Amino acid sequence: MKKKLLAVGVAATLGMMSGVASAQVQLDAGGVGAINLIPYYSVQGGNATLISIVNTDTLNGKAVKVRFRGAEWSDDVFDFQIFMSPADVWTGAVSLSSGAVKMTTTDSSCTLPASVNQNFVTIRLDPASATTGALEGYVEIITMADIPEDLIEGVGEDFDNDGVANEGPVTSALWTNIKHPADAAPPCKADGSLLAGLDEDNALVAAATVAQQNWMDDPTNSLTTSVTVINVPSSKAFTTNATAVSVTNGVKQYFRQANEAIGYSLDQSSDRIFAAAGSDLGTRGTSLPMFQFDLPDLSTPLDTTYDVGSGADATLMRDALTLLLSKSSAITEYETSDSILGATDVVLSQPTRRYHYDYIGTESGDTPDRNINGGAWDVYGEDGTVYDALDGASNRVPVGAPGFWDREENTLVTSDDIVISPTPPGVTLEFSLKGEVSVVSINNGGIPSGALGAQLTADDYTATGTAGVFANGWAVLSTIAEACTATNQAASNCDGLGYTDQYSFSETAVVGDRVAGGGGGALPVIGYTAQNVFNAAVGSAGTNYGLTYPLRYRP
Amino acid sequence: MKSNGRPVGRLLPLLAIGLGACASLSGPPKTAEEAVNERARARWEALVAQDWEKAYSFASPAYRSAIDLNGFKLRHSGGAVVWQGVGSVDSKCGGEVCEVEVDVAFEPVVQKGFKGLSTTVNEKWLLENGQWWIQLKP
Repeated sequence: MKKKLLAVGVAATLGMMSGVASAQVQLDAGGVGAINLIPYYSVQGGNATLISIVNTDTLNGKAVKVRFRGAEWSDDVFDFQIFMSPADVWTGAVSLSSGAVKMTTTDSSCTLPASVNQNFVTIRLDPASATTGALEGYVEIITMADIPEDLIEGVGEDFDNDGVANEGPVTSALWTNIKHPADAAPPCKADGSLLAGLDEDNALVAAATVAQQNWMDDPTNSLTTSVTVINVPSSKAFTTNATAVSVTNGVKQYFRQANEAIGYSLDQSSDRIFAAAGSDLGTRGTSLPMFQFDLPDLSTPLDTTYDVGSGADATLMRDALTLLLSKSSAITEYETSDSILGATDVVLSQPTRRYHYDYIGTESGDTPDRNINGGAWDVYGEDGTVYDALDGASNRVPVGAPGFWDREENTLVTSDDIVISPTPPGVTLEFSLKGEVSVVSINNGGIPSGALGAQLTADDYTATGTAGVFANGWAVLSTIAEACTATNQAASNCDGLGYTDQYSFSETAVVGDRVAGGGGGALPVIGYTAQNVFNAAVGSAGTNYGLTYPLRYRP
Repeated sequence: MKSNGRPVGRLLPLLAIGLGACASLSGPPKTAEEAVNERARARWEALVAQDWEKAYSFASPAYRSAIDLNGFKLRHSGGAVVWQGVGSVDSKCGGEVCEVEVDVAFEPVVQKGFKGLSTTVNEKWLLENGQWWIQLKP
């Protein structure tokens, strides 16, 4: 037996969550939260992606982190900060220009850097995929802090050191700086020096100066985001809402938007790509330098439940989010009739997947899974987690077989009736989810996918029953990752490295103790179904319809 | 202004005609890239102008045999995007196939707050019967 002790698993997380129903991150059914997750962006095949972020808080401004990650390995390909004033809307579009992915915005809200009209930065991508790796991906939007109008502790304090305590509310210089006057750009647009000079302000690394500490408050649940993947040549659009995650007791996590090196700590992030290279737990990283702009990420504790002050760390924030988003299957109706040029894609995005990766240096002579930071690395899913069986060579997680039905109860007899394309060379995983944004195309016969034109991490399932291809009907796509069991321990994707529980610290009774558990299980998935149909009926005006359906699923 | 007593202005049209004739008779033939770039730009200019007949004329014979002009129009009109202009056009050709990149300025119809957008549209053009045609999905 190669695994000595399995670490964190779904069972562990379930146990962790059972006693803390009132204090944690939650999925917000209304679509408003401190964290917004856009499952998919694309500039592939004539696509552009339009993003609209709304601050529904009419009293407080927001310091917001936006980070685009590639679909294949979720590397950061562009990140910036937005300073939204109360009730503000920020809009920006991602498109393709001379082979580079670029951001375009004419929004007047202030950002760091001062202008975000620029190409994406692909330095974190594998050199081999530098030109393609940013064409598709997903987006993390994180409220780092609220920006109230008045200083948090203004009354009774003496911030100006004049020996006289303030007798009433004191307007925050930051709030004044980012607030839109009537129909005008905020002052920070003309003079960005105050924003550029902001210090980090968080409980993890350092608190800001006393004055700045009173400019930002703990984040609350106020952001809602919509996104449109719009195809320019075919003039069709797929619009959906971002998944919203709310906090119960937010924790201020403002980091600088700067190339300032910062030491890695599991307290800040469970993204071990930044950890030191080594074989011990928690150090199975690549020594990729971490900078201030890398934080916060989705594992950075944004709620006191997972704050380092509670004896916890970023792994618990990761586990909580992973559990929140976990689904055993996605259910979709599909329409692929030739008569209406029907096409159906299912987006299965996994925004916490990267926080489960362990990196081991590739042995000499072997082909590395990834080239990072000038080194060659193999990637493994963390033992005992839902990603335990990750195959690093293909970046695929094996899942169960899908089920297909037509509209008249007919179904497939065996999974052999489903033709998967492309079938990766040398990959023996029958059904799998590729990359962080797995796009499953139905009955398209190959990729690019039929509706969204996805290529990077797309697979096509063409379902053929006894009467031929099911043109329309419904399907169940498994999102249960296989475990590394006793029978497949030797498989390359089940690394079998084994280690003792790195999270052996004593956690609070609120969080609950971790227990060893088996790997595999319901994967953390968000997304939607995209359908493209064309109205070609006689007498019609004709239109390409881009339809989106929120993901339907079983927990 | 006069030269040798003859008005220069009267000579310019003749000179222009002569130069044009030289170019068409003895100038270097267009490369595949030049020919395709020209046609790709003309097609998009027709789409921007909603000149459906002209835009349709660049489609491959196979496409035009399967989809008539009205079908082409229906597939391209009344959608989510307003095409606003054509930017740079670039192509890479090998044999009878050209991969073309066209920068298209656009604006979404519904979503507000998006100005000055453009994106690169990738096209495949095929040489058939001595002419370059865009390959479209029927």
